[in-house]
Amino acid sequence: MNSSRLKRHALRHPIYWSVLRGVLLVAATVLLGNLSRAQTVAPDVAMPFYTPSHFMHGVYRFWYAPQSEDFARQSAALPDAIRAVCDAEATAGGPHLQQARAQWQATAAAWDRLGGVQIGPLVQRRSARQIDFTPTRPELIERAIQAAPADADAMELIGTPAKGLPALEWLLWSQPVAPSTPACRYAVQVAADISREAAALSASFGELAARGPSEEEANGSAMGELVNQWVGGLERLRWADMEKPALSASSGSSKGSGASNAGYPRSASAQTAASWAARWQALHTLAISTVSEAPQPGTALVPLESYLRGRGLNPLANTLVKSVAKADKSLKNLLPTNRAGMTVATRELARLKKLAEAEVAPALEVPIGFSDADGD
Amino acid sequence: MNLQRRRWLAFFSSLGATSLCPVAWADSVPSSTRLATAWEGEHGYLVGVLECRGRSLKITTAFDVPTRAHGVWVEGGGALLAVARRPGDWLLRWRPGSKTATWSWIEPDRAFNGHVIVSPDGKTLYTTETNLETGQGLIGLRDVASLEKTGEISTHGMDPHELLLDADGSLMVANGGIPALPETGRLKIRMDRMDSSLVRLDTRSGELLGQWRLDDRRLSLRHIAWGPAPAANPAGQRFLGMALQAEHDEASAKIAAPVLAVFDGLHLQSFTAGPGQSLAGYGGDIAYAAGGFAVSCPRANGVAIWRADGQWTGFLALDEACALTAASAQLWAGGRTAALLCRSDGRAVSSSLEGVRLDNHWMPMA
Repeated sequence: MNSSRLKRHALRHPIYWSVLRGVLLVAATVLLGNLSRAQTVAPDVAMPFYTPSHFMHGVYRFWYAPQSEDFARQSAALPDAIRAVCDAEATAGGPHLQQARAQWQATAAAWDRLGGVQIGPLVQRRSARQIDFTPTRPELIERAIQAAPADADAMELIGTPAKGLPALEWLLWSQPVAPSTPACRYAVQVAADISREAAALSASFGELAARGPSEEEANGSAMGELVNQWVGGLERLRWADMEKPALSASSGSSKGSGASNAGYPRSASAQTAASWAARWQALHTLAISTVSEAPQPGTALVPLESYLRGRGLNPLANTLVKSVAKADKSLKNLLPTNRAGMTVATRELARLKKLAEAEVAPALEVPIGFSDADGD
Repeated sequence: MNLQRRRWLAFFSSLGATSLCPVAWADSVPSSTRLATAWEGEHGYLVGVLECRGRSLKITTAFDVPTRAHGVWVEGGGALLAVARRPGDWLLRWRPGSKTATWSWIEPDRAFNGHVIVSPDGKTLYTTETNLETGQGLIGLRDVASLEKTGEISTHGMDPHELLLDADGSLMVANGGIPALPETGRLKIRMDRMDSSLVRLDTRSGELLGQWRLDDRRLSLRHIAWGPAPAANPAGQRFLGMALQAEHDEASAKIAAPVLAVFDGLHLQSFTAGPGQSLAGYGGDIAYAAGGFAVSCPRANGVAIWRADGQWTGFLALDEACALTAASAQLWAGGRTAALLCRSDGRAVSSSLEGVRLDNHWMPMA
């Protein structure tokens, strides 16, 4: 193909026009000074036209695979950390308990990042239910300790409210395990159970990152699931993790509901703020570009913002960036004791959700199952 | 106002003497009409009361709720019960005008499915719920005073939605039947397992007294309303109308799907629209008024009407029509920016509706 034919071919190709449109719109927007600090792609950078396959490959390879690896690595160290408490002399468990707590914190943070937006294996395996069921039920934990499960098969018979990260948090903070006790041995099994789930997730996401695009990725349904789950993750952070605990505590919720006693996530370990931050990190990373170069398909994560720009939707991308930046600012260093700050944060998260449902998803041609605009 | 008056008039002119609604237009609606409902306002979700003032429906009192509400129920004493949209986690009682409400939070392994009703003796609340572990449908039995759960009975299906009591005290429940991963909220999975049904339950024993299904397994039974008794029915069984939601994989099948089913006490049957009328496969609410079952079709921008025996009557245009109710044998239909009242005296009235994005339902205040 000679150069003139190449040029004619390129001019007929929709990607060419998309790239050109993207360049012009990015440049125009920058000239108008409308870009917020989070959008750092230089104005003369041509945005590639990303496909749903590019998007999903990017999130699998550059977000879910490394995050699930990190979760698997952190959780793999948890059983030994607790076993050290169990094996310590009766009076020497303290330092080991602190190390076990630190390892739990690292594991919980890794899980909160990975589970901030739940797709694919996380959904299929119902991982959140398996290892992050709240509120934990102390009476069921006590019963499970009496049952003394000794391996994976025995743990299968233990109900989810008595295992997972919240149960382990209770065993490390609320009723700290002591050396050479049945409770300590049960805590080791709970940790091993979490580690097995993490290993399975890591293997699944590793496979997804390594293989070629599936039909679901090519036809956009996998991306549709991610966008839906991104909105769902946003709502979970706003409502389930922040606003509902505050409201149910202040409304004199009826007994037996469980919600009033649940409190904020990770409150026993004082890791509530860290949990919010980790979940927000997942939402932020998948939404907004933080690098100066346009992500190249197959070589980097393509966040929603970049995907929109690649389709020439710069005004909407800019609106998304601004909305995310406001939410980001409101969540920065936010503590559950800061009620005024939480009011602002939940309001900004609600606005971001509305934007995602009303404008971003339709622009991506993604039907929102969670949408507040549809009927019931 | 988005009401297409010319189409409305033309429609009724074409119906002749059997028309459900009139060709004449009234100047205003009775100022005494008050409707309890849930809506999205500029800054969030609310439940409250709307009242007719001249040609407008205005908010008279409202209460902020944290997530979108769905079903509302007006208690005998005038308090309003509202329940969160599925998968919901709150139920509240609010007395219009009050700045506070009584809240009930659902147990960790359950989710509200959006509807609540009160038993005839006024002692028990019935709520449709889902077991988040198994995905199976439940009726929550709750003490009226405390809102606390006192028991559960199975709905023998998934995704139970609206429920109504029959005259004999049995409970009619529409199992929507759409399989969804509960902890993700509304993510539909394994639609080949979809199984919608209408069930009759004994509220004392929980016994399943009957279960009926449509032939088309991709039609979800969701909202229900009592109609009149069939002409030949010695047992006194009333017609029960049901609004349907189509869940077909093919868009063409979904668009052409019926949105009304009627149960006559023995048989459950769906009914199509008249020739050339698409209802877009989604009925948002149902009411029986002025001699017919009305099903709102927000995606088709109007209200479809059949006689109780399923004979097609016609379609009333109303942008994003959804909330329906019968008040004093008159049909109220709420849309995006307007509401319609089909009055029993043969006149139709329109009211503007501004700053309020109604949810699916509303209910007249006593």
